[in-house]
Amino acid sequence: MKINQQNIRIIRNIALVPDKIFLMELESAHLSREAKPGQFIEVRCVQTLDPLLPRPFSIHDAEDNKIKILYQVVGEGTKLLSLKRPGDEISVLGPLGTGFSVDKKKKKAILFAGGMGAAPLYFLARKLIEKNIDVELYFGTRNKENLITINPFKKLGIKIHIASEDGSCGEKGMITCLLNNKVGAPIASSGQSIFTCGPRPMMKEIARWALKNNLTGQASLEKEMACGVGVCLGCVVKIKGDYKRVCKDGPVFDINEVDWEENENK
Amino acid sequence: MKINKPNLSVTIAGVKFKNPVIAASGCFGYGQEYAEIFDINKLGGFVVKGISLKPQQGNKTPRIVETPSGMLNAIGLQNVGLEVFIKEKLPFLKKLDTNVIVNIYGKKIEEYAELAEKISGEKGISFLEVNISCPNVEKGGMAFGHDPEVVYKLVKEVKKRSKIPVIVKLSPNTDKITEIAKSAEDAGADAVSLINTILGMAIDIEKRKPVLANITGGLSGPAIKPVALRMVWQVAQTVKIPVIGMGGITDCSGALEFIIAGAAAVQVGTANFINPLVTLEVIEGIGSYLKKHKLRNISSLTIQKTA
Repeated sequence: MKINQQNIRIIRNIALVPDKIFLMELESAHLSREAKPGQFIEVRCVQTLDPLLPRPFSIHDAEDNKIKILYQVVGEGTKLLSLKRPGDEISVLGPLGTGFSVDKKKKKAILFAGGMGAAPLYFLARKLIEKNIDVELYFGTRNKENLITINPFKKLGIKIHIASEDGSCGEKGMITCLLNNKVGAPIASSGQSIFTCGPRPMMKEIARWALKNNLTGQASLEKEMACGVGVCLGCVVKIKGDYKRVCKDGPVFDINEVDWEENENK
Repeated sequence: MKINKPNLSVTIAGVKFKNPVIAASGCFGYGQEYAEIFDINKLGGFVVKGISLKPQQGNKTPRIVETPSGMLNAIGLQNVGLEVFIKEKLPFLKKLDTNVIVNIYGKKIEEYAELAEKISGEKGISFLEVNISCPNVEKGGMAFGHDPEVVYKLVKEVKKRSKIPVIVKLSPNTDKITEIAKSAEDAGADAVSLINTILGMAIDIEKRKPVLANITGGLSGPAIKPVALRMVWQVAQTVKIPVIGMGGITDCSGALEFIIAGAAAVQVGTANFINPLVTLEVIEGIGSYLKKHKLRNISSLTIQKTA
């Protein structure tokens, strides 16, 4: 079976930003072999029944019988996960979902990461480079502290542009500001692949810009989720007018097919 | 007496189940999704997501929210509709070696009857499960499930048109659960299943509004098990037809509680989301339990009716 439910061992669980952003490394030959960029795993943060549901995490990297997840503590489940120690075992289901598709004919890829959106994009960047595709990263962060998730990208030796909301690093403003000035034009004219993951308003802005410039691209979406395998229909989003499952049909969708206006007025 | 391999099979309305564990509707898709994870032929059976005559988009999002030891959902019966079900989903289901139960719902009695006739005319389906209990769509079930007379009429019509046995799925959101079960039995239902989800709600205190777009939703998961067990007990004391128990089962001991309370078989729903292999673990656990207690079969577990 391609999708496995197994108890796997935690190798590392380190705080990149204390009490907030964590990197967990897990031992799994199966996940390391089967995982594709953009796919995710469902992790049970406790073995008891509260919190009840598993939590979905993008696969941040996979090789040598190991996988990594990059996560932020946002609630009870992730808080409990952050307290796990090396050697502890956790129950993991995966790999799940439809990841990024790579067009080998396009020789250049532009990645737009916002905050924790770095999680799936790092694995993608590494795989693109393996396929001899040139990667350029636009990285948006709230502040300098959260910039730590950019570190693995730096080791790839790719061209990186940074914007921060508070101006503490890179250009001041949203990453999307870069689109409409100096950097936006050369990207737009070159017909390359676009990949994005980040806050919904950021991806919406990128989608609008892509459409205007006649570019195609893919976006990795997030939604409250239960089963992770496509049966409960809890995590749906509007794609070309129909509800599609983030966990099964996605999490990666064509950026021009997502209904970015959905739930906007709420 | 030595028992090496306990007999886990049960028979409901003349249909044999290899074990009493059935995956519940809305928690098992159309079977294909979990077939990618384990051999679903090991199940006693499974119930496919509720089917209506026409495809349904379902409710707006957010549709789900986690609650203490449970979850609320308001999916709104999103489904592919009868035509696509028969054309695209049924060919896979026909090849399986387990009981396939098709859950149906409509907005009028005639819609239920038409669905019953068309679906039961197809091969490879063991039972219909008539959903008169979904709390998340207007008239899409629960409205029918509250009035014993309406239940009688609906089940009578469905039975008239169905060529296969009929299970009626009951709502817990009533104070007349035994009367409603009795109405279903009197109208000719072959079995009843209960409970569907319990109507509930969650509020986002920062936004000061309901979390779910539908405002209310159905509560499921271990939080509801004591309520479910009480209702299964009450209904099992009232009707002669088999009762299929469900509501918050997450392990073998939970399943055994329902069987002891009077259920001929159990359904496992939300627990599939927590552990996709839960049904297999429940089956294995029941087998070990029978062996340990030197019991020959499932029905010897059940408490007899208190007259």
